[in-house]
Parts: sequence; C-alpha cells; structure tokens
Amino acid sequence: MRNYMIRRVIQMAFLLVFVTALIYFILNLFPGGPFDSLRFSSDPRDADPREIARLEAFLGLDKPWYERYVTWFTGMIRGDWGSSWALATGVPVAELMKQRLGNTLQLTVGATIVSLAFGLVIGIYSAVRQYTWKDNAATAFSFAGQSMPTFWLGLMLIIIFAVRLQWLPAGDLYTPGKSTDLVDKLQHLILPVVVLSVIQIALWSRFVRSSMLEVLRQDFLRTARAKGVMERVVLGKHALRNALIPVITIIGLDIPAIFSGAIVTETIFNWPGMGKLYLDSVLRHDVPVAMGVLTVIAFLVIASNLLADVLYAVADPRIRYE
Amino acid sequence: MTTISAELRPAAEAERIESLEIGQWQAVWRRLRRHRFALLGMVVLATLVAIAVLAPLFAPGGFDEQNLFARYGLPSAAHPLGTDDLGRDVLVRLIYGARISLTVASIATILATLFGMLVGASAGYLGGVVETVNMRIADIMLSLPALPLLIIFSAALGPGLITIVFVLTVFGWMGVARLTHGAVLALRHREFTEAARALGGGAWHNIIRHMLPNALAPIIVSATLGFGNRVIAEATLSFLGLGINLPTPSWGNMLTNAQGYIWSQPWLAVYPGACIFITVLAINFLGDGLRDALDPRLKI
Repeated sequence: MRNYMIRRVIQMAFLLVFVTALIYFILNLFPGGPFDSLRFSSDPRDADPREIARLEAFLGLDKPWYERYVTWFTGMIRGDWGSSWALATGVPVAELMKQRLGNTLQLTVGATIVSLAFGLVIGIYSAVRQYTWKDNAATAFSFAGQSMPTFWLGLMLIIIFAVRLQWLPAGDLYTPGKSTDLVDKLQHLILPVVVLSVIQIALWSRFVRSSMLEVLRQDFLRTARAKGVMERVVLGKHALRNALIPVITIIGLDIPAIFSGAIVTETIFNWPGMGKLYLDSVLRHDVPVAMGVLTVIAFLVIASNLLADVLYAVADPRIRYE
Repeated sequence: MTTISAELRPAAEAERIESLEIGQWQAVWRRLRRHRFALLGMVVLATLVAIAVLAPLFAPGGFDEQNLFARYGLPSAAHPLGTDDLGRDVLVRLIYGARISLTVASIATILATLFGMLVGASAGYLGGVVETVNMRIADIMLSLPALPLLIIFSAALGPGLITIVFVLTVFGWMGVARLTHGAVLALRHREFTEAARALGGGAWHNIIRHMLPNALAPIIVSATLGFGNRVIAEATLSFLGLGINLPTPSWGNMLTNAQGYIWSQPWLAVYPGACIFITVLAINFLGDGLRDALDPRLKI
C-alpha cells in the first residue's frame, strides 16, 4: 500500500506538470494578446505603442511560451502564482483565488453532501422496492435529471423561486449589508446547491440502485435472513456496506463533473467562486489567473481520484494495491 | 439470430421455417419496437430532424427577420411563441436552433466514435507500446474535468461551428475507445479471429471485418447517449458565449439572450431549454431501449 501511494503521488506530480504545460501552450494560442483593447481602441487618446511594448516585455510576453511556462512553473512551486493581467490588474493570483476558493467549496461540498444523501436514499429505496410506482418515479426523475441542461434548470428555478414567488434570492453571495447573517447566507446557497446536485442525484441514485440490486441477490443475505437477523439490519448493514464499495469509485470520478458544473452554476447565480473566476479570466485573456485556477482544479481532481482509490481499498479488504 | 438451413427440413415445414428466419438487425428492431419509450424517443427525434431539415419551408424569411415594432410580443397567431427583444419570431429561431444543435452533435458524435474505435481497436489488437500509449492518454483525459478544457480550447481557437465540432470530438472519444479496447481484447483469441489470421487476414482487415462488428452493440449505445451529452455540451458552450455566436440562433445562445430579460420577459428563457430537454430526453430513451434491444445482458 505504501509503495503504491508513493508511486501514485509521483504519477500525480508528472500529470500535473503535463496538464499545466499543455494548458499553458493552449492559452498561448489565443488570438491577440491581453492588451489588444489598449492597442486597437477607438479612443483617440490611444495608448503609446512603446509603453504597451514595455508592459509586455515586463510580463515576459516577448519570450516564447515554453520559456514563460518554465518561469511560471518554478514560481508556482515556490508559491508565487504571478499577478492578474486583466481582471484585477496587479493583484496577486493567490490572493484572488483565496477569496474565491472558499465560496466554491461551500457550493461544491454542499452539493456533494446533498447529492450523496439523496442519491443514497433514493437509490437504496428504489432497489428494495424495485418496480413499485415509487421506483418508477425515481427512474423518471433520473432520466429527467440527466437530460436537463444545468444552466436551464438554474434559470427556471430563478424564474419560479426568485421572480415569481420571491421566496429566494436570484443570486449573489449575500444580501448587501447582511454579510454575517447565517440565514441570509443559507437562503443564497439553496438554489445553486440544488442546481449542482440534481444531475449528481440522478446519476448516483441509479448507480446505488443497481449496485444494491446486485448485492440483494447474493447468498449471504439469504443466510443472514435465515439466521433471523432483522430486515433493517440485513439491508442497512449487510447489504448497504457491500453495495457502497463501487459507489465510492464513481463518486471519486464524478468530482471533476461537480467542478465543471460549478462554472455554469456560479455564472448563472453570479456567485464569486473559482468557476466564475475561471470563465472570466479565459474570456479576458488573463493567463496567470486562468493558469492558477486550472492548477488548483487539476490538483483537487487528481487528489480526489487518489483518495477514491485509497478509500476503495479501505472499504474492501479484498482489494490490495501493490 | 441463427439461420436454420431449410434443406435439412421436410419440404412442408421449410416454408414455415423460412418465415421465421430473421437477421440480427431485424431481431434488434423487433425488441426495440416493444420498448415504448424508445419508440417515443425515436418518433420525437425523427420529427425534430424533419423540422430542422425543412426549416426554410416554415420560415422563408430566415432566422434573423426583425420587427422592432413587435418586440417582446406575446404568443399570437402570427408568432405562436411570441417574439424576442428584436422582434424576431421565437419559434422560427428555435427551428433554426434545432439545425445547429443536431448538426453539431451528430457530426461530433460520428467523428468521436470513429476516432475512439480506431484508438481502442489498434490498442487492443496491436498491444504493446500502442496499447499503453493509447489507453493511458484515454485514462488521463477521462480523469480531467471536461468543461474547463472545452472552454479554454473554444476560446483559443475562436468560437464557431468548426471549433465546437472539433473540441467535442477531441474530448469525446475516450469512452468508445475503452469499450472497443475491451471488446477487441476479448475477441482477439477467439477461434474465428485466429482462423481469420491463419487465413492470412491483415491486422486492419481482421479488426474491421471480424472484430468491430462483434463489438458494435455497446459502441452504438455509448454513441447514442454521447449524442445527448453533446447536445447539452454545445448548448452550454453557446450559453457561455464560447460556442455558436449570434446572430445564428442556437438553443444555448438564445438562453444567454433570454437571461438578460429574466425579470421582465421570463417566458423567453423557457422554450430553448425545453427544446434541449425534450431532445436529450428522447435520445436517452432511445439509448436505453437500444441497450436492451442490442444485448439484454449489456451493462454500461
């Protein structure tokens, strides 16, 4: 196990270098530069081209992309993530992200918990009550959830709960002036978390259901029932524990999807998190910010995959990594 | 599935048996026909395709016909779903949006499926370095979050029809590659492939003639479900401003536009998303039915 972990961590490091280099290269392909708006503005008081050139030289934009990548990467390892070019010119990327990462984690962790809770309950229930009308309703929900574009669901919920009923806010982190009010905060969290969770619940409940159905057919459950174990214990302990093992892997693999969903959800709900920061930085050619966010997301994703593998081995003693 | 040779039977029975002889695809079709939701999905999809193909018949004026005197029109006889912020007919734009959605998703699905089959089959059949490289790349790409990369590629290449087909292909082949790889590995040492090899069949001949036909069932299901995901992906990118750009209507960019009027004209946001939802739901029904019809044991 320890050797396996060491090998995986080394792989992780290589993957991170590979992915960041690739993305740096792609960002380099962007048509035009971050200062095109200065250079080609219709304003008669145009920026002096020599000044723009001086600015670009200062940022290293006159060098080829691989040299800039090496500079960026060595800085990143030492904790210097560079400064924003366009979104908040001059502000260190690390500082920009520090504010946003917490906001995104509120959403993604909240959505993961909600999805897990509902996914497990719906999945187990429809497996135990297979082919009843409630199981069929869960199937219908799952089909609907998987076929629904996230952003449209978000817009519909805003229309229903914010525009029409006016029960919940349409976006933002908190109502201005109420930044410490916990109730206000939770009200703002409800819609984005629901939007992020629906598709995961739709997917995970199906997966829990089929995993549970597989276990329910096994002989050891019949043995447990024959010994007189209570049905509740048979399902909750014997069956569920075994059914959850494959679920761990799926959840680990789906963490990237939740981050992808956060980009769209944060954009709709004007939620100042990493996803919105990422989209804005890509649209504004802000290379250091885009690189910073992607590196953090890549790291979280790779780490969650690793964690899923480890948990898999912990949950199932039959699995041994070498 | 299997054909019973009629010569071996008494002549009287031969005719009756002949009528029972059905090909593999006929058997699949019979099973699919029994799946009510798959049938419904197919009818909905066929209707959508027909509407998309015949779009100019419904709207001879094109999708950009404006009327600034009839902005934000409520549904009426002339404009069944009302008009948008520039007085353009919403229904007409939805019909042209179907063209974009279905075109992008189908081309990207065909390209990604073919590429995935190529990568997976060569990995499974050739083994060695090719297998390691191909499947390792597939694994890495599967583990990365797709949307951030789709966003950055689309922005770097300049949003547009060709870009979006390209990025959806580049990030959409891995699932099929894995399925093909697994299937080819399983078929590689079966007698009929050994026989094909012994008879002097080359690698590609064996793959295309003997292996892929046997690996097709899960690939078709995966491609069908992938088609639905690509409809959503196209709409998402267009919604974020990195897919199909205005004035060409796409269900995604119609929603971007509608988002701006969500407080005053909320109904504008309902229709395009409903179109996406219905389309993808129909595809998922069809995919589910195909999964059962192609191979009842199949689990993906």
